[in-house]
Amino acid sequence: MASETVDLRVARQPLHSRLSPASAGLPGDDIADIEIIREDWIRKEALKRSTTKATKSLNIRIGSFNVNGKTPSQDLSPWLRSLSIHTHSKTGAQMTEWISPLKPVSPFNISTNPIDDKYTLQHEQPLLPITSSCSPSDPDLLVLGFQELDLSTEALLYTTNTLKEDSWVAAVFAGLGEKAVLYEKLASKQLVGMLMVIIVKKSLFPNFDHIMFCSAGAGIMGFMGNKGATAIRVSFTPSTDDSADAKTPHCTVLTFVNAHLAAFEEMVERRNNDFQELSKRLVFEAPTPMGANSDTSNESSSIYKSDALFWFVNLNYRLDLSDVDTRNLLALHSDEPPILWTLLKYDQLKQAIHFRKAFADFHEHDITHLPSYRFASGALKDDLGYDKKRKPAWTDRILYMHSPSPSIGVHQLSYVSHPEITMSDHRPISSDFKIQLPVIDQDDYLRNADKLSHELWGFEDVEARGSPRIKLKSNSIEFGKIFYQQSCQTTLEVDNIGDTPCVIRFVPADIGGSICPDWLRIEPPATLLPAHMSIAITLTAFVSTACARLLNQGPRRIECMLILHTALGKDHFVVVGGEYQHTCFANSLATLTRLTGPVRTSYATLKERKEEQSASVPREAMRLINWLMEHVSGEDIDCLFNRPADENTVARIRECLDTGDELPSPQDNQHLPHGFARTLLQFLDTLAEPIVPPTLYSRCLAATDRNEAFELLDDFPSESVNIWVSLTAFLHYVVQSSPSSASHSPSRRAEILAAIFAPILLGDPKNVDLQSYGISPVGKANFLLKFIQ
Amino acid sequence: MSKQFQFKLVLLGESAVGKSSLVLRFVKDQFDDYRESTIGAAFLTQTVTLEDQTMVKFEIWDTAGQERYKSLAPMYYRNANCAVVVYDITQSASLEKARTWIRELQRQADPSIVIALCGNKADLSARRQVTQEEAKKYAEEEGLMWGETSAKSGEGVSDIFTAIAKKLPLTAAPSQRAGGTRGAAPGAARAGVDLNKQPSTQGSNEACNC
Repeated sequence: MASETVDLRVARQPLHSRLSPASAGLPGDDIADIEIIREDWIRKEALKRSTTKATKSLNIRIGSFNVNGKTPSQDLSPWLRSLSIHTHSKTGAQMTEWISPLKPVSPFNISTNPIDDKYTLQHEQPLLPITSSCSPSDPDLLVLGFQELDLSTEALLYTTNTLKEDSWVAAVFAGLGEKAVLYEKLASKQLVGMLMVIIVKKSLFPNFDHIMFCSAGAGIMGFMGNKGATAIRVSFTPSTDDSADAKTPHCTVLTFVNAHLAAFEEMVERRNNDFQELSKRLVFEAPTPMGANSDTSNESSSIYKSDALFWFVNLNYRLDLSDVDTRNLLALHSDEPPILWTLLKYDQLKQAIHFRKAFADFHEHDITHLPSYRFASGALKDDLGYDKKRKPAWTDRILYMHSPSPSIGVHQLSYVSHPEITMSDHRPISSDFKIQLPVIDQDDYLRNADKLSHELWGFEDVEARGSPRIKLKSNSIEFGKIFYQQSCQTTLEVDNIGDTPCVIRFVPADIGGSICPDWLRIEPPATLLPAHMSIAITLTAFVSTACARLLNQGPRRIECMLILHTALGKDHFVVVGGEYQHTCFANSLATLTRLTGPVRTSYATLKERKEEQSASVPREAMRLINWLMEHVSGEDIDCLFNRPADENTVARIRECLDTGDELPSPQDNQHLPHGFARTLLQFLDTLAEPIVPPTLYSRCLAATDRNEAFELLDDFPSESVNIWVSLTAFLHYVVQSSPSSASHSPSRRAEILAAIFAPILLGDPKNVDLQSYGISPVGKANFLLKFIQ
Repeated sequence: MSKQFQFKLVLLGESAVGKSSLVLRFVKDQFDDYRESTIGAAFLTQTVTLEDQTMVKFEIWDTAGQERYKSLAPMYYRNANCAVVVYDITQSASLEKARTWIRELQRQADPSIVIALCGNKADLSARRQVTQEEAKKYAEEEGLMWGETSAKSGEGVSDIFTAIAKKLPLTAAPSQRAGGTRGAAPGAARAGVDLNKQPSTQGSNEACNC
């Protein structure tokens, strides 16, 4: 279906957002909306009807390597061969076992409603555990990007030299070892120092065609090829013999981009611009076939006209953090892997994506490997091998976007760097993807689409065909109890009782408003309904941390009115309600310290506090700390806060805090201490505002000794002082009560605890560009250390 | 050539007073003995031709009367040129409810809105609880149009809509009042516009009204 491949940036836009603006009593352009919804519905329905039972999957391994002008002098197999090699290595095992615990509340997730990740972005699934049993087979496709192949100045002028390419391709095949015989080169494209090579399993070679190339320079004077990108586009068509009953299987378009953007930390704006420029300038020109008829389609197409698009790049994005802070945090990584999350908050690329300056809508998997740049040797390197003069950074990255399911499923299985390969100042990175493709019969699809178009034609002529008539099974939907972070679903059944198809869409009460409150999701929010057919619209209630901050301030009963608009027909009202279960998470210290009992029972009865009386510690924090002091000792205490915990355990403990029920006893489950530790961290992390007011951060960092630090407590708000004192006293106790068998000295343990707690207790304000904000995370940890050491 | 105008009209009133039936009679000249309660808002159009051949097209929003949907009513009466507030002559409580609607319209709707108070179910005069005198007196005090109708028999229905059509300021300058014009982008002003008139002549008309 190459001719029908739509621009990914359009395909990923929800259908609902493409409709005309409308609200209650102000219908938009119903005729145009019918057009859009009908077209989308026909495409999806025809795809569904023409999808055979067979599915096809492609394993793709993508690698990126800035070789710094070196010639291949090392075995490349770790970079090229499949995952199983790393499964047993110490770092590999550690990384896959570790699931970053604070991920749901990292600043890059907080603004997006987790419900979106859960229900719409199917690709955002966690890294699959890599065990030998599920280790993927050899990749079907190896796509390798090299940068800085040739640093000589002549290379800028003469780009025809394939000598370098040949030696690297040879090295790649050598690295594949005994598997090399299975593969052959499918395509390659070079632009000065940038080279992309696609290697394919020989058995699949005939399945790839319509190979197209393009490149664009973005270097000296804005177009020279020392920086820029090369792109290759391939079409994959499953063989007819292995695609069951599809006689004319449709093809899938995959596009790969190898880019190298401007260097240096301060060039971030330039990099963002380069990305935007390259996005425009990387265009595949379809060759005019010799002797072809003039009516053959000969359009050029953007790299975004793909089913899946991968960028693997030496992006040169750096960290907006001081050199000392960066190295200091990296040094803690071996004992506290999630420390990378703190570092990645300062990553320029993450910031650029978050603020939609570059790579908006691209997905990058969680990074669990150390920065890939810049390594040095001898006296020039620090303890981790990084160049002392150049701040370490994740300059080499792999990002992707793909069309929404069901047309393609993209699962990322790994995202790692390969420190074994030391020949360059960069370390190569790689990622394995499993692409799942439904096998669709193209001729059948066209027939179905044609038939559906015919059936659904012209129903907007209400004079001739009659007004649309729908009936709702119920105008009132009740969720019952709605808990924080627990999704709960129900359906709204809609019948088309008329003799013509109709289009329905939810509209907001007011122009520009939302069709439903943040705690609710409607799927689908707009659809076509054939005559006499029914649809069950899924309503999902999900209270994210951001929603809970608001709902915790309000009454238990939450209710909203949905307006379901029938194009060229009636509006139907649906009342949706539930009983919100208040929680101590995502609450504010000011509220919690004034409650007379557990949140759930006393949320509505805030006690009046006399001004001079200092606020007590929230009972929830005290209950957690007391439990941990009472039940944790010995081995457990050594790694209390840096072990993952089961989210269900956290939810169970949280529920006890909210209701005032008795906390689970340690006999229940040996992992309970970690559950309690995790609950305490999340409780603190979801507080509406950090315990230490951000206005005091600069003074906190300026405190040179213990006395100065303690004096600052006088300026803390009253509700912050007591919890700060209780927490730091508890952490001090944890540091001091290390068993003799502990793996770390008390001072090392204090450093680790400070690195975990400081980003939470002195949290960064939400949605602030950290580049300009610039409060040192190590400085924060040092302030906390003065209390717990 | 006859003149054509277009106005947005909204029906308000307590549940079960017969708003939907009134519209059905006006638009399709039909009546159902058992109509389901409106849970939402329906949009219909009907054109009235006046004696001087002026054509007035009503874009009618028939809204839900039930109390729980009251919060959405303002979305439907905003930008309305006229409102028909309906009560049931056999239920005195429904007149009280009508008074509440009228107060709300006077406070929140477009100040130039034409309001008609309509006593429906006139065929059930044997069970009458609201006298004509009482309703008429109230309407006069508030400066409203008033009439009794029977959606069942059809009595008085076209009279009240025709009266509204006559009362609407047909010479009014084009305004943004009926943003809800079906099929047009929001904000497109077609209400109260003489559809035959050339745009160039509108300015001079406006000036005359000063």
